[in-house]
Amino acid sequence: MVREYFSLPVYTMFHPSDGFYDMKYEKKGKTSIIFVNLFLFWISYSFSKQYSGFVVNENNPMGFNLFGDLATILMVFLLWCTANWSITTLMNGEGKFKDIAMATSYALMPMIFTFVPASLLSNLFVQQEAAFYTTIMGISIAWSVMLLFFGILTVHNYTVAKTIATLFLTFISICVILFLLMLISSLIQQVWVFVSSIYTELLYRA
Amino acid sequence: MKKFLILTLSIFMLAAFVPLSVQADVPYRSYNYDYWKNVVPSPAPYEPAKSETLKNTEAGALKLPGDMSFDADGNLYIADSGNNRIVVLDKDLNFKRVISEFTNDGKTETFKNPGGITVDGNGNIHVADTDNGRVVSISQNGEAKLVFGMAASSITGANFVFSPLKVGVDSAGRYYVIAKNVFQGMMSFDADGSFFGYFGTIKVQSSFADRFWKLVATQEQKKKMQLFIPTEFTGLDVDKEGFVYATNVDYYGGQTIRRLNPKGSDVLVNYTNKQIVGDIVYRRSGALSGPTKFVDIKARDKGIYSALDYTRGRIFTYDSEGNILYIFGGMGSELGMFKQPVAIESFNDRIYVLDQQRGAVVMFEPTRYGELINQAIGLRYDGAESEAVKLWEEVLKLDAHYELAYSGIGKSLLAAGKNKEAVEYLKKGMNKRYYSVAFKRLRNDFLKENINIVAAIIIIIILIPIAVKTVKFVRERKYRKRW
Repeated sequence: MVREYFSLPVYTMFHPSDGFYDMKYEKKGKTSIIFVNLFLFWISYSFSKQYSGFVVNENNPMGFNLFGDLATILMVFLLWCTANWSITTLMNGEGKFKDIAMATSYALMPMIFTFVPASLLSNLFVQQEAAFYTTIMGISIAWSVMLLFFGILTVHNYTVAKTIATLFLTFISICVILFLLMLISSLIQQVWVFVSSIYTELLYRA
Repeated sequence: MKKFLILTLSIFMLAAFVPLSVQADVPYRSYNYDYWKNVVPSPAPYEPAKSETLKNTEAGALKLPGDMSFDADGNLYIADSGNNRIVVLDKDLNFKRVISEFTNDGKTETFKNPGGITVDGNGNIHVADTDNGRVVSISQNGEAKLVFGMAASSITGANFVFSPLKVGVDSAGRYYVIAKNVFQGMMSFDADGSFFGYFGTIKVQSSFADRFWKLVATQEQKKKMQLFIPTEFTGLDVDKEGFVYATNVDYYGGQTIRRLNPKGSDVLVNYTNKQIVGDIVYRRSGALSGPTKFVDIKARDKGIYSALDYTRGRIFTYDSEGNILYIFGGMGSELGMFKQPVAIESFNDRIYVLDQQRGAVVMFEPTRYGELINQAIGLRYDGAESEAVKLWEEVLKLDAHYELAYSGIGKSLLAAGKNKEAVEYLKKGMNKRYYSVAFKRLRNDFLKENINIVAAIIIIIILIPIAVKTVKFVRERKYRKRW
């Protein structure tokens, strides 16, 4: 229990290649860890927005929305996983959707670990020391990105060059998905306007 | 019980419809921007006191006046452009006299559509005589001291016609002129009227989007684009130190107020997280939309300056650190609203606005709220922060959202060594700079008092992992999995 949910992700943080290998090919990864990690990330992300120190906090407390944050995180997560999955299935990637989602959730670990303590610590900082806070946050985000890279690389059994190409294509496919979503929403809107105007027309004629 | 509940509920709901009249009786809504750039309603800082068209005086009504200026004694000189004359009023807007002609080398001459006017400290009147293409400086008794124009030359181009719109004079007698169709900046002239050079030139910046569109545009579209000249000066005022405050138009919502030093570079101070552009939030389309267009500016006492917005008829007042002090005014037909505001002046904390279309000068007097802010900012400017505390406290009674009041009180608490209270106030005032100073002191005090505990905690934090590792090492199994 502890080993699957805690030891493996922590081990993966420091040994990404081995960790992700064990996760996928030794079948040690749990699907439920996706939800656990997303939940933890949501908590730490919202925590840092609300409770980081006065001098570093540029978030308007009036605009704070816990569920808005959750929606944002889920949206980005799903978008990323779908886009990556849609590209890698075409490019002989070995990872299933589950593996991509799991690797992504493992990659969130550095941020989960640093956001809360960094926010708490930033309450003791003054403006001249705000650079410490930004450095800590920057390192944790860079670490996560690095983990994500190795996760994709290992899960799909790619070379480094192919991974970079895939990430670029994933970015493009994210743009395409967003474009299609916008298109669909505007089409639905127009259909709705059409239907409602026919309805009003009928009301006046009948 | 149920009946009682319904009764109280309905009373509360009724109360929601009863307007609470706390505002002074003004036709406009005053507001301010908080740290987060949200619009926060505020009490009226100024209220309209009088509007004067001169219709019922012997001078006759003003006709499309373009500019006005105060002398040191509180006489208001109005460039009555449509009537080709200068009209003088006193500070209560009572008519005094008309200057419709002046003597130049023994000859009597007149103005033609004078668009700009300024009066210097010695009472000399400088007029931008627009359609005569000259700048005229006359003394109080109507004698021309200096008349100068500017001929077309290699600097200006062959088709140049000098049409001065606004004029300013600094204490050294140097002239600053905003002229029609001159986009290189203001024109500066020496005290003898010879052209000195362009002044305060605004660099044309093209954004990434502009460059992209230029890349894909056809030849004909490009020709149309070149007609867009991004910035041009609209109004100016010279402050007591000889710096030129200037307003300019920026279609992209960039910087629109400048404080130019004698070399012509911008030295406007802004310690805030907001640009000095007037409205930060505005509608993109429809009536009264678009970014603020400042047409005139007035450098007031103690580093305060007020700028007049042509788009929505609002007056924005800033202090020497770039904080917005108050915003008021609007478009409309009631007293205190404008049809086409073109010039702003100030004397003894009163604010005067010239409405071109209506041919009227409108006088505003500060309310208690505005007066308190003006005084408190003045005291802060003079370095007497502790004296300002009482005023700030009174401001907070009228407007509990006024961030400057909190940080003003906080700063004086800081100076008095009350760090704990100072931190609270500076946090409310969103003043991160001084908050840091106060918090650092508080932190140092805490560390000094509790040095033993702090040292103990640090040692424990270092020792515990070492101990744990040692124990682990002792218990180490021969075979260990990787995780």
